[in-house]
Amino acid sequence: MNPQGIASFDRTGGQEPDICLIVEGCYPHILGGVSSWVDWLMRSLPLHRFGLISLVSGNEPRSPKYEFPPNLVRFLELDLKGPVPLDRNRNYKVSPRQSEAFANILADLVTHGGSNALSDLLSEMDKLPGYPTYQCLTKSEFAWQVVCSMYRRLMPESSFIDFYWAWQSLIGGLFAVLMFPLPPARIYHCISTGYAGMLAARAAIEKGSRAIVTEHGVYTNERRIEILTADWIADTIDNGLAIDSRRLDLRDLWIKSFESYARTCYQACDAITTLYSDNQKLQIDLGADVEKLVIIPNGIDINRFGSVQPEFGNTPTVALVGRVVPIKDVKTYIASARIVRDAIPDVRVLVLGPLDEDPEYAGECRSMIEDLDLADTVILAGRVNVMEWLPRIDVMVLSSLSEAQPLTVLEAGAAGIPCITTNVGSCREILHGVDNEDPSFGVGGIVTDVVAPDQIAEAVISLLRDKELRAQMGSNLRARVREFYSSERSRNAYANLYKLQRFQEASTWQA
Amino acid sequence: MSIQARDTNESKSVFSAARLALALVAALAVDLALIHAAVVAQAPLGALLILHLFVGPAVWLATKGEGVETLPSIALLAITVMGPVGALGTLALAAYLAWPVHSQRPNNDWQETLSKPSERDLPQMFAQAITEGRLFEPGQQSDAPSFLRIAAEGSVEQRYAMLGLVSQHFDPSFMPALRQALKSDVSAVRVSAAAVFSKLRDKNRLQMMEGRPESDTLTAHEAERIGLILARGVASGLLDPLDLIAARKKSLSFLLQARPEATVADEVEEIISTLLYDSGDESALDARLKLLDAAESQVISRLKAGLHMRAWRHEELRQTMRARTGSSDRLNSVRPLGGGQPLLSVLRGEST
Repeated sequence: MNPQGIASFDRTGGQEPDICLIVEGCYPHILGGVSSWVDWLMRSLPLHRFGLISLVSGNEPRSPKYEFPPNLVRFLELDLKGPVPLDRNRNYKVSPRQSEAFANILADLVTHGGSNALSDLLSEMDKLPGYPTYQCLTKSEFAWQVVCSMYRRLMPESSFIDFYWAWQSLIGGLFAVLMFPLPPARIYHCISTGYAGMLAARAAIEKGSRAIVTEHGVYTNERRIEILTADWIADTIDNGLAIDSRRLDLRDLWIKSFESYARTCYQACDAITTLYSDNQKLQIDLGADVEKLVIIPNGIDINRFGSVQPEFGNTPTVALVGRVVPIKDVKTYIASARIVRDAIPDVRVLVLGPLDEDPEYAGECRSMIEDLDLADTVILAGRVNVMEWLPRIDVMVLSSLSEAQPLTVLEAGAAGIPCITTNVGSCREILHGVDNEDPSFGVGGIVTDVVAPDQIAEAVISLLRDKELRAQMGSNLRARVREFYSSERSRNAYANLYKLQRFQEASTWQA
Repeated sequence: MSIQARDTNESKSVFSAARLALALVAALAVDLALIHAAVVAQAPLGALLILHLFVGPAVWLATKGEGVETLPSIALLAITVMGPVGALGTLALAAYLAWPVHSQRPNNDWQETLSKPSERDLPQMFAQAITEGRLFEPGQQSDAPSFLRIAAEGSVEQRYAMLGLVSQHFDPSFMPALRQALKSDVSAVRVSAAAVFSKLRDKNRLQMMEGRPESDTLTAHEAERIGLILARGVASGLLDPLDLIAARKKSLSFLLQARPEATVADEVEEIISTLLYDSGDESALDARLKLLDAAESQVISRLKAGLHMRAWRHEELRQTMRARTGSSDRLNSVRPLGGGQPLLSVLRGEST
């Protein structure tokens, strides 16, 4: 155990937990987002007994940001950099033929994935002589032979040094997962693919247990974006601006590995859940079986937000609820405000969210408001209690460059406020409904392109000028949110999923 | 370790070294005095020897502590065994180690002893890249489709690859393809494009922040540097329309401060002219260009033609070209690739 980490505990009393949650880089070390959801899930199902394995990396000091719920009976940290070495084992070696076979199976898993490839690797690991430790598999003569063999096979043109260190990260993390003592549980539920997904896949293969994967954003796509835009990954082959190159470089290796890990996880799990249907297209592209897919959106407290009573007779008011940071593209919203103000001079344009996360950006937004002579129109209110502002808002805007399933849109919807959002995450689905929505609730708002102030302005003007349209869209959105996005419905969906013997008994969330 | 902590440790170390030197000098003096007492005053040797045996431990006790951990022990041994010679030797050793060149080898020197920096020349690097298969393969480019076309019609994999290239090798000419990807019907492409756009926009923002004046009074050189940084941001295509107008104005004000009048038709002048043109201030642009030497008129014409062409101002472009056609036989003979009407005729609006 890492002395810097959070202490493990076991309160199972010898009785295996119902569900072992497997999370990577979130609960209980980080606040918000997926961590909040994990906390919500455990607290929403108090009769279920949970275990939790939290995948971490390195020996930075860590502390829990959440109070553990009483039904969390076991907690473990898994360090992707491997256990603290007891000995170096540099001399560990096996026959050249066995190293070559091991490298081939590993290369197959990394480039293609699949539960068979993982199963083959696990059997090959069992065949290695002398109970090898993590150090034996990653920093020994044997490991060196495997690295060299994989380099020759996968990317012989690239830089070996860079390949070596990429291998240590990618494959080292994999071995940490494959050698971790797996605690017993009835169901293994990973909250992403990647290494967490590989641990769930291993549990399904080794123990024959049920495994479920839930993805909020699609992990592989998030990693791909990170890798595509990363400046820390060296490009060691000169492909110019060629699109299709036969020569693999480090970025390709990283992306291929995460795709393969996802493929393995999807094959081994018997249910694949996500928040919205666009994510399912990505999962299918990565080899997920359509029969296993299910959508379970996050929910909100409908009664709380549904109790909002609009204040009539106020000035036309538009609001954006969110942090003032570049990813929310507040500047596009401000730019649209000028066009709206020119058409509706008494409009009030609010930005409700903290200004201190990126003070530089917030400063630029302030300058922009001054430059555009919008000081009397746009108000940067900072961190506020949104419940107090909702009654005064006629139209909610979300100008983000990226979102998953924005709760602010659901909260506005529950309060009967029509929304204008960019075409990101599940926004279109929330505002327009899924293709086969039953019952169909109609349009609850307007979807625009990203970075399109003119489109946002046009949508705002059309809604502010047409009270009936506004009321209709608000009512449609409220009905949809009440029906499909309640936290109660979300909780029941997971309870149902855990109850089933096999996933095939499940139905879709909207049926 | 913080700078303050490091400074404190260094001053402690200097103090300890001084204390050691004093103690060694004292030990040397005491031992010499003992020898003097033995030789000159014929004092009893046993008593003198016992006194001598106290000198080494006294030095050790007086000097042990932070900064010089090893030397007090060496001093103890050397003084006890060799008397004044030991004290003198330890003193010499301390002086030797205190000299920075010996005591502390700079990191880069040390690293250089481990692995010497590469001194390969360009042909050698090319040869290695060819041998290892890392060099650019020209054949790949023969049927390379445009990024814009990939953004619109390419496979999802191709669009990801294109976005990766846009992110890593950004050029303003990639913006139409990036904007197209932002509207893609595939959500994953849209999200990836938004991430790339966001990264590039933030990077551009950070680079433009370097164009902040550090004081109210700027030298011409400093004003030009800031103006050019802002102009690069303006040309990136990553600013929204309103930011663009503000940044262009700011860039121009710095560049005009650096160059109130046109003196030479160089790259900076071309940037100033472009900014004036894009600001719609054509009278200022004309006035500026007239000041330039007639010998550089070709440069100016090219500049003007480029500006007009960029704005699709065909009439102005024709006028610029007509002004140059006194000696334009060569230009008039230029035909577009694949034949057709001479280029100049097209620009003049003539028909064949």
